[in-house]
Amino acid sequence: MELVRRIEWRRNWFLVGLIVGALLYAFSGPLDDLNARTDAPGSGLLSLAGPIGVGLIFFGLVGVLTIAAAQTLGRIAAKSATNRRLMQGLGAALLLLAFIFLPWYYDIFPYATLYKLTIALQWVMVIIGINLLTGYTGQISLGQGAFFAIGGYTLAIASFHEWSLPWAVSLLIAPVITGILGFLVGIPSLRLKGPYLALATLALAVIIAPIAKRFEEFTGGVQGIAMFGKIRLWSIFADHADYFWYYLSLGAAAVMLLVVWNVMHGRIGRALIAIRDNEIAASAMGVNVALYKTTVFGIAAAFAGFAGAVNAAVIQFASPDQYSSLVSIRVFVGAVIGGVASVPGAVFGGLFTQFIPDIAADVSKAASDAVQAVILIVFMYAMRGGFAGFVVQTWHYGRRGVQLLRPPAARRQGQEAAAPASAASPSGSE
Amino acid sequence: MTDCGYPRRARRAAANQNTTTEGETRQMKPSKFKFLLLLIVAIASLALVACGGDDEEEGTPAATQPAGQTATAVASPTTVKAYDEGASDTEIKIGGCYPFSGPAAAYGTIGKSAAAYFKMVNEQGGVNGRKINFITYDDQYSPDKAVQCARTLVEQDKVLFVFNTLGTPSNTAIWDYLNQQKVPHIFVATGATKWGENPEAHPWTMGWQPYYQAESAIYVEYLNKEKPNAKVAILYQNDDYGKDYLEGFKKALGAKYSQVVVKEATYATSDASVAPQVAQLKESGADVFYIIATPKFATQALVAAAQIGWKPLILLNSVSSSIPAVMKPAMDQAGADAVSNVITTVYIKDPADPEWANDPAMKEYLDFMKKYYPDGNPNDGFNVYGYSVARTLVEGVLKRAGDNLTRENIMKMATSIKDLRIDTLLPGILINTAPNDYYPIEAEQLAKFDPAKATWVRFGEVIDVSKKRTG
Repeated sequence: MELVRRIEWRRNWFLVGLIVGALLYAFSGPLDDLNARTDAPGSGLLSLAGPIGVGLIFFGLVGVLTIAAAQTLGRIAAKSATNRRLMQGLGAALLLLAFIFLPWYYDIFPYATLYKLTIALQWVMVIIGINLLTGYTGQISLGQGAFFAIGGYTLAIASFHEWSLPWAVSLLIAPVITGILGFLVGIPSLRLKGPYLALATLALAVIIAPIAKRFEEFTGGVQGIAMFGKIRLWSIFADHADYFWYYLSLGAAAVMLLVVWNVMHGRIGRALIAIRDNEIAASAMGVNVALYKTTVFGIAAAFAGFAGAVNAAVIQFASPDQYSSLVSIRVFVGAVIGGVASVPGAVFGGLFTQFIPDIAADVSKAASDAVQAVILIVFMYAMRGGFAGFVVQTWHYGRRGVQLLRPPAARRQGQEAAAPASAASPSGSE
Repeated sequence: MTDCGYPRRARRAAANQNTTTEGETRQMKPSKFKFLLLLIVAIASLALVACGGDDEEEGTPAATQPAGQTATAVASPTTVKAYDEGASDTEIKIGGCYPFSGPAAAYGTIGKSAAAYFKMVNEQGGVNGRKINFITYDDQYSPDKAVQCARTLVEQDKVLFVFNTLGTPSNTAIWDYLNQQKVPHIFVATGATKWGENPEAHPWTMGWQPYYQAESAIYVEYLNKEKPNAKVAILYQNDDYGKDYLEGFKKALGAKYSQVVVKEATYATSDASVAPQVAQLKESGADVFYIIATPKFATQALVAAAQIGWKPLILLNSVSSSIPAVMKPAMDQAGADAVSNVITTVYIKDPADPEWANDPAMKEYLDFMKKYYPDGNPNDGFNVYGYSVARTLVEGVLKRAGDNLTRENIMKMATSIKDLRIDTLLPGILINTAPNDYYPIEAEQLAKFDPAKATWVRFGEVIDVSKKRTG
């Protein structure tokens, strides 16, 4: 009993999660049968055992692997700044390679199709913009869906409805237009703060669909603009359109991630964080707050606009219904869940935005909205820094050394007093 | 352990904030900001959930009579087995996209009741010995998700055909693709006229429920008979749904349109109220008021007409014939007078209508709901819809296709249904299709609202507009 009481539940929850998850998963079959046989109220909850088990196993594995990596790779990385940078570069390269070769093995993942992954990458583009804007600069925008829509409509109108520009040109015009619009929207953001800014940008997201319906002669109204079969790719890609769009999205997303990463690790990044943390202090230190804020708005909008244009080209359809205000909210939720102040978090956020409705509908068709909400609540409760924050935290825990058991009561007080000081050095090693 | 490898900034941060690397310092934000973020995410998720109840234009089944089932003639069972992707000796794989979540989630139950119907068919031995595997995905009533859904169904799940996908915009987004792939896209759950308007352009797509223009034509026929000198004022929603209805009215009236219709007014879904439009329409001196509106605006129009003392004969499009969503609220707000002279059309039996309490078909339906879809509300008209459309597929297409389960043959069967009787539809309504007739249900019956009993009372004959259209 003493042993059980001494286990560090809170810090090692992923280990517990692994065990509980495995048990739930193992028993999900019999539990499902039980659910099928009984009519007792609430027996439907039994069928949740499988999905919950899978979720726990997933996060348990992520936790264990992160700790393993922290204990091995982390030690190498800590030796010098060059090592550290090398490791980061290696990690990014591995992630990129995984995505580059994804078309050959994506079918091992449930729900994944090349087409959906292409769209997930477009969400990554939108989300990295949100991360720059919200996570790093502290400006909450719920209106990215509007720029996404404008991007999509730019392509549809410029290339297929009104004028017949080559689609590749429209694809490049879209981020320019949305970038300028974003810059302009950024101007009121100088006066609005916090929830007021969030509401102002939400208004953007809400009005975009009615506007598209109103100007029927340009946007095709409710019917939308169908581009099916009208997008001609160069002959070498024509037979592999899906691959073409996937790699185009991947390339664009990778460039955007790189841009944001570099921006955040330089002068501008420090200025942006300073603005987020304390605007007055930042301007006192000579940061041009107005310029930075509007520019960041413009960049985020341009990212969303480009993603929207590629999205419209892939979907081959642009209509008001696909650009409802929910798009903005979903990508924002994706950004927060991925980790709003993290570049790699955007990748997870994009995948989350794309695949969570599939997963939720699989868990329960009757209440998939509710399932999504529950997943969101669990995330916000268990991982405040989003998925990226969870990995970073676990990494640091791994670096400090895993503590499965609490020290016996007699020693505990002394240990706790010493804990802050020893935070930087992994105990139990060296 | 030496931490001399860390950048200096990070070490300082570690000392100050009790954290170790710069990665974590970035994660640390003032708690106020974090709280705000949490708050907004919470509000956003609330909005996600709260949005589940928009009214839209899809088929709203309403009230009303039984008859024996005249099963379709059994097609000559071919001895040759022929399969396309998705069909085998043991299975027929079909797919559909429905809004199980999002703003139009209320329609999702159609997909669930259809799936439950197939489950029942499978338990009873399947169709010609084959089990039906109905794969559905959530498209959130969003065209881009519908495209993802259709492509997954065709390219990954390799279904034989796509069945009953819901929503006009969603189907518009996928019909080019499915027609290019030559995948049947049949019995779509939307009433737009375009699904059957031009079969040559989209030979693989077909509707099911009565289309909007047919309904308008029925009202015209009624007016010609009962009120030949009617002066009609029309209120319509300014989008393709409203214009579709209006177009049907125009076509049915032909040259007389300009004399009969004295005034038209439009509204947009973003309008707060349609009362000003109703006032304008009253001034035109019309004695018939045709309301082409979704439930919220239809209620407003009924109330507004009563409040300004206008008592025309009201034709209410069937999209808004729901009693709890339209008629009851209008009655509560403006009294029984507001709804005492309202006519609509119906084509499917309403499970809540006491008239069907002893109807064998509805009893069968209720037993089905109890056994195979216990979570669903048996009184929800959408479940009767899903049950009926799934039944149409099994009786009208799959059974007749026999062992020849190619996409071409599925389409051939779907376009050669003769006098199929689905007994959850109103008595007298038969399903007929032909290679140049892509409108399965073209008959409806008129019904007048009875405020005292709060039900629709059907009257007159079932009106079939198919002869009118072809003749």
